[in-house]
Amino acid sequence: MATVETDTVTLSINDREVTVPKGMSLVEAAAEAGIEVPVFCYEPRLGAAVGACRMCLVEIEGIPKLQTACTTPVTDGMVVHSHSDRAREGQDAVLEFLLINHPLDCPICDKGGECPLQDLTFRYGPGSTRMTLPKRTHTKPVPISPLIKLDRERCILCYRCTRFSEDVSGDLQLVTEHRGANSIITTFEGRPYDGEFSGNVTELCPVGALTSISYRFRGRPWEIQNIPTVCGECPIGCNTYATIREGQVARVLSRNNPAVDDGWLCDRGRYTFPSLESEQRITTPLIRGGRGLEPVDGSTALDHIADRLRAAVERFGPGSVAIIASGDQTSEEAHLWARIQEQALGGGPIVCGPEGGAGWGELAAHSATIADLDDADLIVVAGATDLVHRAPILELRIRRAVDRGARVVTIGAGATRLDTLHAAEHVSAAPGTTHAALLAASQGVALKGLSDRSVILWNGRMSAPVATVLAHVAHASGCRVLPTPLAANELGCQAAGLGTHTPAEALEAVEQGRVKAVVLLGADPVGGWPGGDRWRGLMERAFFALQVSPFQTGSSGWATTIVPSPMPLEKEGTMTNIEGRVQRLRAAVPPPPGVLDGIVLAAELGRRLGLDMPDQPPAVFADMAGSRAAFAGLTWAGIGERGVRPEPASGSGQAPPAPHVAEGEPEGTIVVGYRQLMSGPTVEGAPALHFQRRSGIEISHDDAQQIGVATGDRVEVSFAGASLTGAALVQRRLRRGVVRLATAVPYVGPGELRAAPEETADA
Amino acid sequence: MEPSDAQTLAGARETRPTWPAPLPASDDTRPLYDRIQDVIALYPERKSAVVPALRLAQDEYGWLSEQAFDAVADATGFTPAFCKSVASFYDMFRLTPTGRYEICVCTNVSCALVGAAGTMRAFERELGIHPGETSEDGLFTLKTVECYGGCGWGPVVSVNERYHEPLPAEQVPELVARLRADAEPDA
Amino acid sequence: MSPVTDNLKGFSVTFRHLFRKPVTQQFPEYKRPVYPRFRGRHRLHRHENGLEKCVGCSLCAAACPADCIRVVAAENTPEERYSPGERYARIYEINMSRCIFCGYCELACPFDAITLGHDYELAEMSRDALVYTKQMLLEPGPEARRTPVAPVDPYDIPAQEDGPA
Repeated sequence: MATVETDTVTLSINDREVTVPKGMSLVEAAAEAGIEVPVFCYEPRLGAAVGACRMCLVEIEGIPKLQTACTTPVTDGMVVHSHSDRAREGQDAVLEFLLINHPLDCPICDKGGECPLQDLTFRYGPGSTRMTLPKRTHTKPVPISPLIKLDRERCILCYRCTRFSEDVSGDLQLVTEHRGANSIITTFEGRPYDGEFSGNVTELCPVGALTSISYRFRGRPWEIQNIPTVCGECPIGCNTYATIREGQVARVLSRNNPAVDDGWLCDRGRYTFPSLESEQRITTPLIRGGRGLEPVDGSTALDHIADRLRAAVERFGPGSVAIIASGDQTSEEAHLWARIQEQALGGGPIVCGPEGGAGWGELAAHSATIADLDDADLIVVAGATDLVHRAPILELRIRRAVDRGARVVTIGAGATRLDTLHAAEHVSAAPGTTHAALLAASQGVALKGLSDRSVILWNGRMSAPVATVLAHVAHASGCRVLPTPLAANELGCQAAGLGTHTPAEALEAVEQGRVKAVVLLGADPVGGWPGGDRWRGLMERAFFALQVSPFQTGSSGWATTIVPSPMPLEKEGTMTNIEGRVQRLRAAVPPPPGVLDGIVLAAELGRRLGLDMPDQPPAVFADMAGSRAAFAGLTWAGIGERGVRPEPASGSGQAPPAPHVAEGEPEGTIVVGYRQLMSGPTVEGAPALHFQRRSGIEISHDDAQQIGVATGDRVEVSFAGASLTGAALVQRRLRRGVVRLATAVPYVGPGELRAAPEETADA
Repeated sequence: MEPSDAQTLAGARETRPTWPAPLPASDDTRPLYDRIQDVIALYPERKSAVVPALRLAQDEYGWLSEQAFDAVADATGFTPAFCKSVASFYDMFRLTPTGRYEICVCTNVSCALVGAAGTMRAFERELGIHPGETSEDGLFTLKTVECYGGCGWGPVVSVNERYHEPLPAEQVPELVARLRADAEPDA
Repeated sequence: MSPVTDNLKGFSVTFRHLFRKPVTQQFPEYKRPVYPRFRGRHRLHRHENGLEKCVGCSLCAAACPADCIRVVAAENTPEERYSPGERYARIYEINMSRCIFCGYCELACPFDAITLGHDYELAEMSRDALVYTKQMLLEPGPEARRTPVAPVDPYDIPAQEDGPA
C-alpha cells in the first residue's frame, strides 16, 4: 500500500477498515471505526493505559492469546475481532471474575442505574454465576474523608482512583495497599483524603465503591435532571452539571469541556452546593428602622432603595454613590448596575473585587488561553502562594503539561506544590517583588527559552506595575500571559462596566468626602478586604448603605438596607472566565421565596430610577452586546454549551513602556496572608468541606531555627496592627524571612514573627 | 553468625556468604533524614529511593510504624500513604511489631511441592501460633512469604533474614529448640 | 303480533323478575371475593424480624408506567434502623388516583417488598387522601387480610339467565 503515509496505519476491526495515527491504542482505533470495546480502567485523562481490569480483551489474528485493547498499540495490517466468539468468551469470563466478589448491592448502591459495571454486565456478561462460595467481605462503607465513602466490597481494583491521586492531582493520598487479591484502596492509617480535587474519584469510579456522602441515597438516574451550568466559585468557570431532585440540588458533577476544565472539578465547586440552604442566607429584604433590621416585602424595599438613591444624588450631587462589587455577579447583573450608576446616579466610583483589577487592558493582546498550557514548552508560575487557591483546576493542567515534557519555572516564596514537580525550577523572590524577579529572570538565564510557546501564569494580585512588567516580557519574548483574577466573574464585570476604580482610588474618593452613599454588591469590604477599617468608616458615615448579598457578612452590621440575592446555581446569565471565555449559567433551582432574581432586582430598581431596562437574561445580554465593546458581536444563542471566547483586541504592536521596578530586597519579615481556596461564605455553608482548610503558620527552616520552634509549636505573627497565634508549620523550601498563612483579609507586607509564650492553663 | 554456625543449625545449608549485605551506612549515627538524603542521591529519580529508605526506617524503628512512614515521607517528599503502599507490597517490610525471631516460610509453588505446608504446620504446632501472629513470650513471629528464589532447596525458611534451606517439617522442632536456647541467656 | 301482546310479553319478563332473588350485592355488607391474583391496593412487607423489606431503591418508581410512586431514600443509622441494609425508604408514596394497578412495581422489586393485595376499597373524599403514605402501605404485622379470597372454582358470578342485556 504505497499510498499509506508513514504516520498512519490501516487495520481491520470486525472487518471494518480504519486508518488511524500511529501509536493509537486499539480501544481508540475501534472507537474511530464506530465499534465499542468495553472498558473499566481505561481513561485517557489518567495518562497511559494500565490494562488492570482486563475488560477490553480482543482477538488479534496471529496472536494466540486474547490481548487487552487499551494497552495494545495499533500496527499496520492488524486484523482485530472484538465480537468474535473467543473475544466474547474472554469478556464473559472477565465479567464473571469481576462479579465473583462484587456484592448484589445494586438496589442499595448509589451508582445503580448509572453504573458501567451494571451496563457492561448487561451487555457482555454471562447472566449467571458459577460461584457458590461465600463472597469476600469488608467493613462497609468506610468514610475516607468527610466527603467520600468507600465500599471495598464493590471495588473491582481498576486503579482509576489511585491513578488520579498519583498522576493527575499528585496528592498521592489514595493508594493501594497490599498485593494481589488482598489489595485494598485506602488512605494512610485512616487519615482523611485531604486534597482539593478528591471529589473527582467518585466520578471516575466505574462501580459504586467511591461515592459522595452528600449524594448518598439522594436520587436515582431516572429521578433526576442534570442542568448544564458553570461553577461560580472561581474565575476558571469549570463546566458543571447540577443534579436536581425534587427542586433541590443533590450534587454537582463535572461536565467535560476540554478547553476549560478537561472534565475535572475541584471540591469547592463540587461540594459547596449545600450552602444554598445555609442558615446564613438572607431570605427577605431588610430595612434598618427603629428596632433594628426589619423585614419588608420586595417592592417596598425597591421603592425605599430608589427613594434613598435619588435623595443621595439630589442632596450630594451626581457621583456621590459608590458601588462596591465582589465580582461574583453575572455579566448581565453587572451591566445593569453599571447602567444605573452611569445613567441614573451620575457616575460615581465602581470597585470590582478587593484587588480592583487595574492593568487588565494592557494585557489583552498577550492573553493566553487555558488550552495554551497544554502545548507550552515553558510554563512560568509567578506568585507567593499555591496556585490552587486562586485557580485550582489549572494545577492539574500544569501537572499534565509537565508529564508531557514541559518545563515549569516557579517564581515566588517557594514551598508551593508546583515546586515539587520533578521538572520544576525555582526562582526565589520576596513577596511583593515577584514581578521584579520575573523581569530580571526573563532577562537572565533562569527564563532562557521564553518564546511564543511559553505561558506566564501570574498567580497574584494584578496592578499597574505588574501589568507593565508582564506586557513588557510578553512583548519582548512573544510569550502569552494568563493572569488570575480573584473573583469568579471579575473580567466579565469589568467588561460590563462594573469596575472603574481600584479600591484605593475609591477609598480616596470616600475620604475626600465625595462619596455619601454606598451599594455593596456581594462584597464584604469591612470583613474581608484590605483597609477594612476605612471601609467601615465609609459605611458608618454613609447617608445610605445598601447591601445586596446572599449571606450575612461582616459588612451587614453597617448596612441600612439589605436585599438578598441569588447564588450562582440560582441564576441565569453569563460569566467571563480567566481566559475571557463567556459561558452560560443556567438556573438549576429557583432562589428561595423572598429572594429576587439578580437581574430583576437591578432592572426594577433601574425602572424606578427612570431607566428603561430589560429584565430577561437574553434581552439584557443583547442590550449589553449592543453597548459594551467586549461583548460586541456575541449573541445569547451563540454561547452554547461550551461558551465562546471572543478574540481579544490585538495590541497596537508598539513596544510597551519599559517597566521601572524598584531595586533591592525588602528587609525583615514579610507576611503573606492569602485567601485560601476553602474559605468564603459558600464554604462556610458547607461544613463537610471544613476539614480541607489549611491552618498553621508556614515559616522557613532558617527562621524556625532562629526563634527556636519546630512544626507544631506555637508562634505569634503580628502584621497590620493585629497579631495572630497559631501552630508553626516549618517548610524546608520556604524563602527565609517569609511567613505565610491563610487569612480572611489578603495581606502582603512587613510583619513580625516570634515564638509564642507558653499557653497558661487558664488561657 | 558465621556460615559454619549456620550449617550446624538444624542442618541448614548456607548457600550465600551473608545476606542481606550489610547496608553501607549501618554504623552511621546521623539522623534518619540525612541518611535517606544520601540514598536519594544515588538514584536518578526520587521514587526509586523509597524502598531503600523504608529499609533504613525499618532498621531505625524496628518495624514500620505510622511514625516511621511519616519520617520516610518527610525525607523522600512523598506521602506516608504512598510509602505504606510500597511497603505493604513487599513481605520484607514489617507492618506490625515482630518477635525476636521472625520466621518466614515460603509457600510458593516449588516449596509447596516439597512440603512447605508440613513445615508450616510443624511451626504452628511447635510455637502455638498461626501465620501473622506473634507468640505470647514475644520470641517468635510466624509469617508466610512469597518466593525466596531458593526453589532448588525447598522448603525455604528464613529466620531473621537468614535462610535455612531445605527445612523439612521433621527438622523444625530442633530449630525451634535451638532458637529458644539461644534466647535463654538474655531472658 | 299486536301491540297488546307485545307489551304483555314484555311485562311478563318484568313480573317474573319481581319474584326472583336480586342479583345486586349489598356492597358494604357483602364483600365480593376476588381472584387470587387480583391486583388491588399495594402493601409493603416486613421481614420476620420486623424490619422493612423495602430499601428505597426506586426501581418500582422507574417501572411505574403511570409515574405514581415517589420514593425518597435515606440512610439507616445504628440508632434508627428501618431496613436490613444501609438504605431505607424515608418517604414512600403511591398516588392511588393515578395508579393503574398494572403490577409492574411488584415485578420490578428486587426484594419482594411490594405486592398488590386484594383490597379494592379505595374511595376517598379528596384527591389528596388518595396519596397513600408509607405508614398506610406498610403492613402492621402478620394480620389477616381484610378481603376474603375466593376459591378458584366455583366462582360466585350470579347466574345470568337472560344473557347480557
